[in-house]
Amino acid sequence: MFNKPAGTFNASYTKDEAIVRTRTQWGLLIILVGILAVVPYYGPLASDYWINFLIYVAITVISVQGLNILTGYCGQISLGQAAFMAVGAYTTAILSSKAGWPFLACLPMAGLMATAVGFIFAIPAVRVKGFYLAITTLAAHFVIIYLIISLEFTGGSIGIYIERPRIGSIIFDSPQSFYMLVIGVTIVMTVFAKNIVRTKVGWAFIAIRDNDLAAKVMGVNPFTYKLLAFSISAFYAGIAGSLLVYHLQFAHPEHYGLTQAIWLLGILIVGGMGSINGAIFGSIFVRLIDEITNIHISPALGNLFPSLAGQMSAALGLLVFTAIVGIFIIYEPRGLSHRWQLLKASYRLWPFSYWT
Amino acid sequence: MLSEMDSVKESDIALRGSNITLSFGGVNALLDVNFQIFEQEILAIIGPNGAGKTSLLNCINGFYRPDKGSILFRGVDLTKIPSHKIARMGIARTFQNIELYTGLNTVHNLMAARHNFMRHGVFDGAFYFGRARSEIAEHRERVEDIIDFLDLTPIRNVEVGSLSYGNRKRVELGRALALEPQVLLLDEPMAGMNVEEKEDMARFIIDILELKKTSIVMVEHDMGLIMDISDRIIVLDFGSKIAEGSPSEIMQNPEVLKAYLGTKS
Amino acid sequence: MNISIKRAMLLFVLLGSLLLLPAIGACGDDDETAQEETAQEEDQTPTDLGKPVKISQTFALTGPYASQHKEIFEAYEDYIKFINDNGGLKDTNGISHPLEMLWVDDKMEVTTELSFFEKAKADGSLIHGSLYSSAYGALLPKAEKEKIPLFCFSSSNMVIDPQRTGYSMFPYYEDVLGAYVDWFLQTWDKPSQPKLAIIALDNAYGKSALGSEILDFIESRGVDVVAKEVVDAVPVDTTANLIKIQNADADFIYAQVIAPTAAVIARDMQKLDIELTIASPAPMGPSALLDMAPEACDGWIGMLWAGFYADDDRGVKFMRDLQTEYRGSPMETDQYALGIASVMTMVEAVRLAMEEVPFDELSPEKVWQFGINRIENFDTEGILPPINLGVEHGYYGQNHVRPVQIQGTQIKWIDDFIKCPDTMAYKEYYQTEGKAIAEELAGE
Repeated sequence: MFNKPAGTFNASYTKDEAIVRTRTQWGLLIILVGILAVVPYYGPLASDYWINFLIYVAITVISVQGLNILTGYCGQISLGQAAFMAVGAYTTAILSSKAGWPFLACLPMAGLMATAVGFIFAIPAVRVKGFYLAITTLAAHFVIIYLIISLEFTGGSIGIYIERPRIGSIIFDSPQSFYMLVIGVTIVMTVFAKNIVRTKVGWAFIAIRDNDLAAKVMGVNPFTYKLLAFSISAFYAGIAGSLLVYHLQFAHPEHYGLTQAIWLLGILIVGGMGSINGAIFGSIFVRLIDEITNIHISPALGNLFPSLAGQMSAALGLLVFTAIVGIFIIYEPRGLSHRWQLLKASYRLWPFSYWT
Repeated sequence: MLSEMDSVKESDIALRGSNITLSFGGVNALLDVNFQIFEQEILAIIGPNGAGKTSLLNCINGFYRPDKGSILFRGVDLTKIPSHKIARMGIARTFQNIELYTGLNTVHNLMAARHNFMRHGVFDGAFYFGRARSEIAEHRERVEDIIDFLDLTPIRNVEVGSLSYGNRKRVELGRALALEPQVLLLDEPMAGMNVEEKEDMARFIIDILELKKTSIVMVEHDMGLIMDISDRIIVLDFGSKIAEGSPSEIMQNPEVLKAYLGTKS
Repeated sequence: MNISIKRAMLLFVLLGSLLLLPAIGACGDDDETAQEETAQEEDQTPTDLGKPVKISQTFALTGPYASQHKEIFEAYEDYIKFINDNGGLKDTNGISHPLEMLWVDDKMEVTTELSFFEKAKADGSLIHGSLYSSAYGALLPKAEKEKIPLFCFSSSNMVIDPQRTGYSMFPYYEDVLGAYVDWFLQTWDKPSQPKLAIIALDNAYGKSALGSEILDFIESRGVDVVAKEVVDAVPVDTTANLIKIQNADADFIYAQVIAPTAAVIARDMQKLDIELTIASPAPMGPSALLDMAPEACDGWIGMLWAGFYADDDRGVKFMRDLQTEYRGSPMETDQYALGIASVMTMVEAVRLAMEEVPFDELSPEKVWQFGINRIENFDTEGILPPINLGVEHGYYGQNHVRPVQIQGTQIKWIDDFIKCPDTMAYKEYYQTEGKAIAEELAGE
């Protein structure tokens, strides 16, 4: 159904498994990275406001990639992603503010700590399925947030301020430089995610998702691989949480509410579960819609109709989000990434596009 | 018949089940079933609906734990170990209702089945470098061999969810072969197929036996085909083994005729 | 493909109608005010009106604080209308400028808050406000970097740790609890050691009543904390918690909760026949509690910092006039009073800065330097005690509370403003080291 570009033949199996196959694709990729690098300095998005937005989208992409591996590829629903982000964020905040660790030490440590916590909570979680799994991960969320509020060294309900990230003598003080840092990490994490899902571990995840009965018969231990999926997903959440706390320069338990976890799931549905592109499309699409509704449309409507201001803005942001997720579930359950695939296919088959 | 069995050398037996009893809430699915699977033979299990054929396969690959009895394979009792380890030991199967990884294409369904042979983990994988890359190329070659063998080439890049029924059956067989099994369990491999497809499938089964030196256990309803290709037949009825022997012996067995046709012996 | 195009169109139609529905619904009842506004604009000659002066404020109009924040939102709207109807703000050349509020519903999401902060900055907002501490904490480093004055409604202690360009005009939750303990001790005449039970909401706000410093403070006053109960925001039942408190033989209770929680606690206390003095800080809102649990809540005390509870108050009269003018009828809620006090102070800072700095040179930094730092004994029409901000005053808007009690269907002040004790050690820090940081910032 999704063909290779016409006239492309692969001489080896390694080439056949490659993601980027033609020179045009390489060219497009380089242009895309170029655009990402130039965006904060030139053009319509070169303002603090848009850079702030892009940073947040990039952080969302990382977290959704992790959730995608767990939910999209391994088929295990999780409502604990926001809490694992909190673990990463607090690891970073504590190590950075109290022990003075630099960025390059804090970031992987945040990922590892989140992995460890995710692993512990996954042990009971992987024994149950579906609805019960959702409830178990929900419990993980509440336990983690409860601990953060209650413990002394996490700053409790007060929170922790942290300094801007630094690598050696470079301090990422300006929005532009921090944007570069975040985009760099996002690209690396996305490439890792893509590689994980196209190798042995990824196939095992998909096997469990599509048919855990068959997976067992084919020698995949569901228990081990579900644990692994949880751990990887928590690692991604930890990295995202670490970047978020560097972005906010402040760690507070209220930043990692349950609604965040639900948003991440919604983004995954809109983008398309089980697709690396989908996580990116979904993050951009949903955050953009959210941004436009909340920051631009809702106050404007409120000013236009003052008597309704409160109620209107209260309803609008969440209504639009729910409506979008609902519409996608009904009309395009495979998300934006499927649309993208169809678009590519119809482009390749042009002028016989109706074949798709 | 029994004396013939006793004279068989122990080394010719691939798998031996003894006194297998399985019950679900008082109903006996299997009752004291004894069987052997010899190296390189096609063993057919037949019987009326609900006779316990699929239950027997499920016991062999660890979905069900028999209440009593043992299944010995290469000196290991399969009733004590989990399914995925049984698969690792070299027992593969297909299902009555096709159970494929619908989100993957044909090639990757087979690649996923090479799981046991690949050594790279999540770190090699994440970097897609060194071992991961070379292993994938190497196993891709094996998988392509199977694809050639089963004539799957035209559909190798198609997501299996969108394949026709017959093709999916074939992909499932390919996936089982990718496990390089010593014992292959086929649960109604020809159900729902037309004559042409059935003949293709029969040819594949015989080829597998000859080229891959695999023992094949097959649950099937098409008597004509079974009589043609199987070496031995076990007949189950209400969970008990009522007959065992070569196709010609089974054809004349009065117990079997009674179970199938209800005629008096 | 045809089907997918149809689907895409359907999607857009649905989305579009979703956006339009509230707008269509609003058309009917809004015509009058719109006409009034245009009429007023025509009265003034165009030369009188300069470019608008912008202030920005976030509200959480979605989520658990929605009802409170809506009242605060209305207070902001009303006061800004009031300023504009009285000629706006005059710059150094005597030209008056209308006041404009940029606002957003942040849904309690820190990222929306941050995004709006950047937008308000780009749109030329001179002073920024946030309502709760978790969002404020994330804004503060950015505000400090660009020297943007930042106001916060929350009075948890992190607001001034260390003092930068952020301000709150309300006492800290810990200090309020300290004030309650002191206030209760005034009337304590039994020889035994008084025993306090604390009920805390299971979130950051609630748990701040259980911090080690405030517990040490209570102990230092000779009061024994015999129970520390943590409850959900909207609990089903608090009987178990109350029985524990009863068994611990507590003499008085402090509930750091919100109104829905308080309603359940009041109901259960009535059921168990517990008659102890119980108080809550301002975020609980006695008027909301009275609505929710009309009889059960009799006797509940609120440690407030502003409210509507005495007819002869200047502040109350001012707010009633505002509400009658712009809302048609008085609403009389505590949150509205807090909102008015807050927006008054923000506007005062801008006004002071405009006296000194030519309009073209106005910037957040100038408002901070020449506005906030010059707020001295600022009178919010008597709604709050005089407010002092700026370096010399330790940035501490004011730290008084005033106890109020629900008596039958009435809510009444039962004492005058009480100065809160300093319960937190960090305050010494901000008055020495924090002050130095701030002076350094100001001196640059």
